[in-house]
Amino acid sequence: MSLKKRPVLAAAAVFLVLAAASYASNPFIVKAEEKDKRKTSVLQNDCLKKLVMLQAKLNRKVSAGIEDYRERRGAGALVVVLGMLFVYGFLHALGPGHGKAVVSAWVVSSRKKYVSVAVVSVLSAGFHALTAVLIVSVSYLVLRTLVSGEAEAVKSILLGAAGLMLFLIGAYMLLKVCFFFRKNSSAVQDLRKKKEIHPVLVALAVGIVPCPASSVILIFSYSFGLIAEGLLFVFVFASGMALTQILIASGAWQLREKAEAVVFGKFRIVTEKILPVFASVVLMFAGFIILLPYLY
Amino acid sequence: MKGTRMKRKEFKHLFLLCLLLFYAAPVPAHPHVFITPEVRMIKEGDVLKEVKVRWVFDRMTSISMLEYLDKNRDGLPDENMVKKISREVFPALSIYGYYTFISIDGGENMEINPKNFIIKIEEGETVIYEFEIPVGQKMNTKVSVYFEDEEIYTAFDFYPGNFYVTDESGGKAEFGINEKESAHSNIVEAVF
Repeated sequence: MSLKKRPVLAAAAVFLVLAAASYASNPFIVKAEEKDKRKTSVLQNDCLKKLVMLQAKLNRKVSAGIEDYRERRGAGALVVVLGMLFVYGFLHALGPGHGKAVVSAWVVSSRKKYVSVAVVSVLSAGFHALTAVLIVSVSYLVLRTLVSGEAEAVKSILLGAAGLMLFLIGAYMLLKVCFFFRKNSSAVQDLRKKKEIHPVLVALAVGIVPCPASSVILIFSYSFGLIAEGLLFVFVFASGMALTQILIASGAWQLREKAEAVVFGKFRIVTEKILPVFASVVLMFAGFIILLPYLY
Repeated sequence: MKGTRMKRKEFKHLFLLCLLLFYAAPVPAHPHVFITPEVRMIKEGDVLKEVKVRWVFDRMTSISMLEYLDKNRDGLPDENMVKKISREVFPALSIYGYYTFISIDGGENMEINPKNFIIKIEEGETVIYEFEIPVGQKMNTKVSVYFEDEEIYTAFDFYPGNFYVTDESGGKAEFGINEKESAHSNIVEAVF
């Protein structure tokens, strides 16, 4: 397989994973599968716990604010809702998920222009909301019904296939990088150039998953007949998420640049080899975690 | 000396990079569903007979759920969906222990086997799940209750004010939050 095909394959695997993950079911209306049980203990992180509780409060305020706007229809009420939605979006994206691991892996795997990092950050949040808008708008406004969560078997197969692909792609990239370096270590620069994935493609891969929170905000607004406002609400919510994404990606980029600046001589292997390898391992790990429930 | 400084910097930046990479490693989801639980403990003498739980879903999630639960928009959950959720969906939450954790007098969390599950739609737009947890255990002074989804798909936002006691012998309880245990700082404790 040529080096040119690798980014496409990797992007396809990420896309598959994220698309399959978009079927994530509400366990209160769709039967939870035994293999979905995973122990993450993320709530044992006190900061995350506070973040979750803060979101719970904001969620209540946002829904009350939207209902208030429905009653009053005033500019003041609208501004209040938009302000809360921006903060809600910012906090929402701060939690686990939203492809931060994938973007971070992409950012640190090789040197990037900052503008590329910014584009990926903003567009990934934009696509994340846009896919939700498209799906909800078409199903709610055109089909007049929401797609039910009956396709659990399809979801299961897709998710398993995606996990396997992600793992294999990570493993392939890992082996290829190691093999390439052993064979021709002087061609590092060339390899790095060929490994680049177009920022829009990365953003699409990360953001293609319809954002469940955006979907819920939109359904809530549509149910009150707030069509244009619903779209505006999601836009502002996505802007909050974009701010979080860009801050985190900028942090990764800064660290990568600093590491590049201080690493020299024989330590250059850190940025040239170890980081790309490590990023590949992260992809493998992601695939393995997805596959884990299928293995027992 | 300079080399040592460089190495330290390298390690520092690399460590931060590693942290960043694993920061958002595949955790399923951040909260998308918010539930405010209400709890009523039924006590008879020195026996905690049962715990009645009421999950009130947030307004936005409720509206989304109603697309499935009340397709004919009559303000009542559709019969076929109630059957499906009662027989398949709700029992499947057992893999999460129904997100419910109860311990008596500081002991181990008990096994949760709920019964009498019902679905309600209140005020036409708020979805509520109710169920009872049989306990039938002797107790001395304290019952601890909390709700948690380790995958944080669901966030449980609960307060002592949403906890009640029914005691035929006239016993009363004071409710408080135990913040000493960092893992589960939002444990609500009823001290009789």
